[in-house]
Amino acid sequence: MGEKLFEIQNLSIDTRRGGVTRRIVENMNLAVERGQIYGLVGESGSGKSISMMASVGLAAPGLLVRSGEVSFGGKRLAAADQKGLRGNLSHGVSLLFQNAKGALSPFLTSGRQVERVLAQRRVPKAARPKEIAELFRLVGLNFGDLGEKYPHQISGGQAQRVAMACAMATNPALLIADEPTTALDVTTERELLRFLARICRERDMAIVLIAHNLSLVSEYCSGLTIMHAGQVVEEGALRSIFATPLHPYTQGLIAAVPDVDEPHELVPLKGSVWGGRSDIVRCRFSHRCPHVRPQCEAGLPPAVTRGEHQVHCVLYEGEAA
Amino acid sequence: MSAPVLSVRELTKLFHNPAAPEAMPVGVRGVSFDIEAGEVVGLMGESGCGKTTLGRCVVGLQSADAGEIVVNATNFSALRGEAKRRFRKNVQIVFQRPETCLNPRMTVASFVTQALRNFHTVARQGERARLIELATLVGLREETLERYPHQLSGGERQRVAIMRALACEPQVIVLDEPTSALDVSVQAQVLRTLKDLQVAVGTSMLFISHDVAVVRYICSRVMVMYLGVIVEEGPADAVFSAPSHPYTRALLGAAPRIKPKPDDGIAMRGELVLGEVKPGECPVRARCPLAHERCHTAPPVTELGGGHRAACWLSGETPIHLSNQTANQVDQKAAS
Ligand SMILES: Nc1ncnc2c1ncn2[C@@H]1O[C@H](COP(=O)(O)OP(=O)(O)OP(=O)(O)O)[C@@H](O)[C@H]1O
Ligand SMILES: Nc1ncnc2c1ncn2[C@@H]1O[C@H](COP(=O)(O)OP(=O)(O)O)[C@@H](O)[C@H]1O
Ligand code: SF4
Ligand code: SF4
Ligand SMILES: [Mg+2]
Ligand SMILES: [Mg+2]
Repeated sequence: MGEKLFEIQNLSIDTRRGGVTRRIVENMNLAVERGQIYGLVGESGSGKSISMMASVGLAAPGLLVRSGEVSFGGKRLAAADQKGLRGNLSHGVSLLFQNAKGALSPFLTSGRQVERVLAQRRVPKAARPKEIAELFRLVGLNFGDLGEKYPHQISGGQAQRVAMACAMATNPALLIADEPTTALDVTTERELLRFLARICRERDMAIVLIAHNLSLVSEYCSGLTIMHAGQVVEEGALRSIFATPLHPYTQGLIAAVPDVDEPHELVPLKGSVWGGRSDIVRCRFSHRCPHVRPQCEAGLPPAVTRGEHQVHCVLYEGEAA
Repeated sequence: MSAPVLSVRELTKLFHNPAAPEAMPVGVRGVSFDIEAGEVVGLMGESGCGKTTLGRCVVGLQSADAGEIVVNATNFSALRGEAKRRFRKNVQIVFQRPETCLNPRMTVASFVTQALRNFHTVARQGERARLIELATLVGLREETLERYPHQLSGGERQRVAIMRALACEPQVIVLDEPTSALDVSVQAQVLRTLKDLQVAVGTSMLFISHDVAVVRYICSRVMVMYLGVIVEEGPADAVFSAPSHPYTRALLGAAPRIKPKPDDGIAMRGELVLGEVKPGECPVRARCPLAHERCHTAPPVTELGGGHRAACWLSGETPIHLSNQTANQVDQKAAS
């Protein structure tokens, strides 16, 4: 086991709308080790982005962080201390988003985008050109070709690499990549993921890779958390989860994804993420679950350890591991 | 064999970059293919290769530079004015983002009725019954008919777009990335609906997607496009289990998988740079890991049996010449 670099414990987040409070992240735990790419998967609206943003102090205004603690690099802070957590952004946490073109400033050349981050880090002017060239090389871009180009003059894949160079300019220990390849082609996507894997290994970093599709994380992640409607449903070693997916939601996600090599009939999950009752504490998959029973709506489902992972579901309660 | 429902011949539509007149123009170059009745044909390839351009030309949203589009023995590309407008009902298109075609101020019922009336597909008193029938076909509940687009989920909106296309009783529907903006589960629902539709109504479809697993699920025949040319085509099973062209191999190898598979080492180098592609050579050469001396001349199309063909010097042995030759002629014309 590697050294734990980043840990979220018992994170709960509420929203209030028209006097109604809704819990959008419930009791979330997640731990990432150095040198690890950790996958966070769930349908859109599951709370993946919200929980990760809150863990670095970027919860949107209006969201209420109710409980939880975040440890990073040996320091532990209350999740409610959003201002304190934002400090981690300048001390080793970087972010990478889906739409790199939108995230880059349209008025700055690729080189200047990276330089801006270096300036924030107070790297002396004279030392910047060398570091910029270095960062471009790191992300597989040629500074001579692209350094002087503006975002609208480069491709989506190149823009994602420039954003990556900006993210790496702070020399982070942890990178949170929120669906970084959604806007890219499969071939470019694969290149970026391979690149993330390489950089993670070489720099002994940790990466949280957020995705809405299980097939994206299968090859590159060693740990995995699957989230549904703000609840973690299954978590642990990826190979253990893929070998024996236990939670009905995980099984449903797998059955819904087409397979290139062995085509099979697709079985869609019924209903939607946030359907079902919100006035009781329950397994929030109960309104979609083919195995639902009364206990499922009588509190939070238990966490059961099986192999190298944990499943949160009454089906496995009391069963010998 | 009956005549194909859609027959595209030597279709060309090129966009020149005024800022770089030397560079290879993008678009579609001399593409030919047929779609039989009830067939779902997939078109895959990377972003910008010309898939949407081809789809838009097929439905007449874009006028081609050259070539013919024949629908049920009528030369659609030769029609003009009112005749063309009326013929449009036969070729419908569904886009990736249904928002772009839905009218925010119209209920589903009035939006689809508009299509029914435009093309007089049903008498007034039969409209309601037809609406309900169409809604059922695409898996929408009757009460959805009275809703506005903002009251619908992404999957429901896409169903409405498909419903409107069906309302025209088309011969062919072009689906341009119809599920790539949807979540996996909603995507699964919409794909199943499309499959059921194909059985129930038998509409022919041209299914455009860069998600090769989706194409494999829904299509019986597939075409792979690179820089406006079809580089490989054939029955889905043949192309997926024995891809011949290096680009197809790279594309299939790069697809994300739940059960990862050791790749066969064929990957394209870097990104497509138009300036590196020379007229007359194999368009893939600059990025191809298998490129060799012969590739400075565009390869002929090789027949691999059962309608499986690929345009690479390394494919099979019995070369015959098809659309790729046209690509060269087009390039030479563009260059001169
Ligand atoms: N009206 C236009 N004027 C100039 N260039 C155009 C025009 N329409 C498309 N193009 C260019 O033609 C090429 C092919 O575009 P097309 O939209 O057909 O690609 P695509 O294969 O559908 O890609 P994607 O997967 O991203 O949808 C692109 O390089 C595009 O920028
Ligand atoms: N700023 C906000 N205020 C209130 N609710 C929000 C806000 N942002 C997102 N939500 C809700 O929180 C839930 C989780 O959102 P998100 O974390 O973005 O999902 P994911 O990243 O898994 O797709 C969704 O139901 C979404 O509608
Ligand atoms: S706890 Fe109950 S409802 Fe939830 S997944 Fe398990 S069986 Fe289904
Ligand atoms: S003809 Fe040559 S360059 Fe073109 S795909 Fe085949 S091997 Fe590659
Ligand atoms: Mg998100
Ligand atoms: Mg397109």
